Amino acid sequence: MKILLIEDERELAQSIADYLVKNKKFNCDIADNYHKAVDLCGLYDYDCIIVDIGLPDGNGLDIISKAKSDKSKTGIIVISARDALDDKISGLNLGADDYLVKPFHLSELNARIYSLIRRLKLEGGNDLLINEITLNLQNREVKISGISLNLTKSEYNLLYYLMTNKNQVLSKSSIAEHLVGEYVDIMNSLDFVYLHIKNLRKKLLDAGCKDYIKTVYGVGYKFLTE
Amino acid sequence: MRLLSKTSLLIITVSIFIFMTGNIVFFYVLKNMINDHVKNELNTQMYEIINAVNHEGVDINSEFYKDDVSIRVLEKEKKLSPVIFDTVLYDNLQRKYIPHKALKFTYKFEGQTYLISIFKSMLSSNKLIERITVASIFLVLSFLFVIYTLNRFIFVNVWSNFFSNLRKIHRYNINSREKLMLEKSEIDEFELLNSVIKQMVKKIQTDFTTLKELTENTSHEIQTPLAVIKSKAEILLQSENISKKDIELVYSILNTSDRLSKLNQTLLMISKIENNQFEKTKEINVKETIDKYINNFEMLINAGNFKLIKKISDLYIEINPVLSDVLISNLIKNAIVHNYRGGLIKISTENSLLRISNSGKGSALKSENLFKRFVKGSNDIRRTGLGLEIVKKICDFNHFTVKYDFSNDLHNFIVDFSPVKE
Repeated sequence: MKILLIEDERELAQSIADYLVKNKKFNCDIADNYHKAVDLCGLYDYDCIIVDIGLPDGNGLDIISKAKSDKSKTGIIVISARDALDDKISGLNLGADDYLVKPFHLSELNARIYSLIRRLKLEGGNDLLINEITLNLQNREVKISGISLNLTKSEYNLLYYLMTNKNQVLSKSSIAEHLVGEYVDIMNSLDFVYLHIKNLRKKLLDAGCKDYIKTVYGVGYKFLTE
Repeated sequence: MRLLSKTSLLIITVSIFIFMTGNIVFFYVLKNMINDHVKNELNTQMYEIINAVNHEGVDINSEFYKDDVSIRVLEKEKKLSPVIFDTVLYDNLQRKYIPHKALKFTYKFEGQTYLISIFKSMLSSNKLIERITVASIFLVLSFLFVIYTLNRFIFVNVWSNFFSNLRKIHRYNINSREKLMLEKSEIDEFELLNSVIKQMVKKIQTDFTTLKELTENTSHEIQTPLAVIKSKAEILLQSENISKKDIELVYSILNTSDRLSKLNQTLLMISKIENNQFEKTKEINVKETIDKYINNFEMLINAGNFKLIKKISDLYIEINPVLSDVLISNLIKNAIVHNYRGGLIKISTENSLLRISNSGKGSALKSENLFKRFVKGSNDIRRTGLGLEIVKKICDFNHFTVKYDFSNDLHNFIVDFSPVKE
């Protein structure tokens, strides 16, 4: 899968690319300015474009309309430090599929890219498969070795987040933020995440699933499949 | 006090004072002049009488002496120098006592000593003084009236531009992009005032724009390096050969940068409210916003095992939708965060009031500091201490009132959405 990352902050671009390449079999191109981004868009067919709105030589919003007019199957995620509602609305109106405010968790970006590509390409069908666990993304159904398992909405979201970021350490704050959104900063996220993980783990084990969820002491959790 | 009333009052007070003293001085000067005049007349008359006596001899009953001269023969020989004094005499015609000035002196003629008194009625001169005084008071009053009318007239003519400009400035909204149009004045000072005001308004508006840009730029500039720190820490977290101890250090970096970025976002939000950047309003149903956030926080409410009592009905307010979201979510968050496990959260509406109550540790909070920046209810470093300040700022901005009280072991936050009349 090919991803174009348009970000003028080299350090941040490198981190994102590192995370994406290491985690998945993604192929990531980096454009650090508007012109390079436009050139790359013309040369290759990207599955997903991650674009920062504030570029030194142009507006990221223009790239969205360009990319959307050429290839309808490219997913676009806007990343911006501007928390302005207007930017968000105009970005989504121009055809962007998602919007993330800087600074974000790389694992969150990863999960968003994953679900976006799934949605647009339907690659590998509608299922997310890891060993005996099958997640049907369309009707949000979970099956363990073919037997369906009943999960609450938040448990499903948690499992999805863990599976899309498999073998990565996920911090408690990033999990909490994924579950309740941007307001998590003042919540007692430690208890909150722990309770959810505990419930999910219990349900999975009861359904005869292997224990993939490992605790990383003091930090968070890891969905270990290796 | 209005400018016209103030000047009129001053002018009238000062004029009354000046005219009163003037009149009193005038009264005494006049009185003295008349007295001197009477004394001179008496003296002249004295010499006339002496002259007459020397030529024609003394005739006590003479017609010449009339009523106002009396001549008596003194038994004993006595020398009396001329003396002037005030006295009253009974007037048969008018049947009353009338003030007189008298001159008394002795005169020796042909071996006889005569006591001669000359009387001069003061009635006419007193009347004169009286009339002059009345006339001058009348003059003063008409003068005051003229001054008052003149003052009003000058006011209307000279100050009219000033007042219409004043009204314009009063109605002018400094945040609007409209230019401030002031009426030209032919008076230099007013023209100067106009230009000074125009310059100030322009300066404020440019500052406002600059500040807005600065706010946005700061946000951008700070969030990006933070994003870099965060992403590097996250990558470090994934590193395979990192020790357990180091992983905690990395996590601490990650968490702290999280906090810093939230703090930054919150401060920006406050400065945006303070800079009136949320002017666009629309009708919002508070009930829907509450339901939305209760739904959002459902997991947290379940996790905390809170008992939620909800008694809300439709309540429509005019507000910027972003602000209503922030206001309601902050209050609900507050009720969740400052609660204990299994505690109570009560949300109710009544007329224009929204009441959000929660059980909590400890007793009543000091309400005067509650809504101030960085006043925290606990030492939890995860909280910014800005939540309630935002609530207060939003309420002030929309002319709502927010109050805190503590009753029945519940912390209550009450928002009154009926606009506060200014």
